[in-house]
Amino acid sequence: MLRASSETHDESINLDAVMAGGAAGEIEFATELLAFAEAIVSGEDHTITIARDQLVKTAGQDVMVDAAGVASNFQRMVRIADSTGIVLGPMAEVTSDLRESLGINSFANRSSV
Amino acid sequence: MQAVNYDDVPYSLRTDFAESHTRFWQRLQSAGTWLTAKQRIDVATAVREAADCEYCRQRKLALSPHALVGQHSDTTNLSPLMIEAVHAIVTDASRLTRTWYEGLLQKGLMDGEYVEIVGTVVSIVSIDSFARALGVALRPLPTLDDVAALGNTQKTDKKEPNRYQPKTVEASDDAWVPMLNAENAGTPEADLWPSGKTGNVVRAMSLVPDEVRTLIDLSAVHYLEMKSVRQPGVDAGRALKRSQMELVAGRVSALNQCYY
Repeated sequence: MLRASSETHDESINLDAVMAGGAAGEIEFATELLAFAEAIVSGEDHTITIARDQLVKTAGQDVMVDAAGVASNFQRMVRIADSTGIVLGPMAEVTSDLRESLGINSFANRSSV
Repeated sequence: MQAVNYDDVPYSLRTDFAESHTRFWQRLQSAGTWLTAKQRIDVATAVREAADCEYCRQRKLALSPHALVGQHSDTTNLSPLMIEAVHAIVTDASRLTRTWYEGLLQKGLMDGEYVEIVGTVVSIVSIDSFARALGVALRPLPTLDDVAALGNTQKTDKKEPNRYQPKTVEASDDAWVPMLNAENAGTPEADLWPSGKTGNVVRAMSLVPDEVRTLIDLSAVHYLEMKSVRQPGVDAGRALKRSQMELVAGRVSALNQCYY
């Protein structure tokens, strides 16, 4: 979905940034957004404060608030997938090459364990 | 009814965050499909206690987390099975297994109870994560006084779990838990995915349809309306462009080692 949405916005994207952090291509405020997302997952208040302040300074408070909303939404979605053991279904074949190249297949598929 | 507000947040905030969180708080202090209001609030309390649970911390460090024997830190009245489910989903979800899930059922947890626990846990995790991201205290949970006050205004059939099970639910190889068929047109659950088909992550909690309705409600505010999720050009008119949303979503998922 990241690849498709960046194509829609005519932005180049380095998908490896999703897996490993770092430069994400032409997405605006990518560095600050990634740092904020990483801080939220860490759960460390001091780290979150630094990343939040930097994102507000660079992109503004509305961007920060929306990023907080999206990040916290996916703190939920990953746990739904992990705790119910769902399979990818038809998406598995469609995204097979991309998942292999990014290393997503190294994560356990809950349905198979 | 206790409303959620973010008046202490030093940033301008869309009002729909507080509104959707208040709707969830209202659900939390009402009987669910499988859990009583008190149990639902206890699940929420246990989510917060899991963060400081020494047994969870030790399991997180262990190579085989479910081989470790110990006791969770817990002040609630939930059963040990429910507490195990809550703490494991909060602290080590990426290492849950079908064997672990089936073990809970064999020891007496109902699959409907489990799915309602999942729905309650993940909602609290998300709402609490949002508060931490904004740098404010976790919102106070509803109390038993709130439950009593709400109970006095509710119809009798809303005070106790009704254990409703959709007729078209079935076990399959698509998940550990039973789910509704993806094709649900013409059923009482047709509102869950009006397009007639959806991804497994939305179907995952459909054994308890109200958990999917909560997911839809909260996700529409935090992220996107379900109908827009598979349309990569839709931005929802937010401050974040869609590609920025997906960058954040992807990084959070990767850090949580989410295969899905």
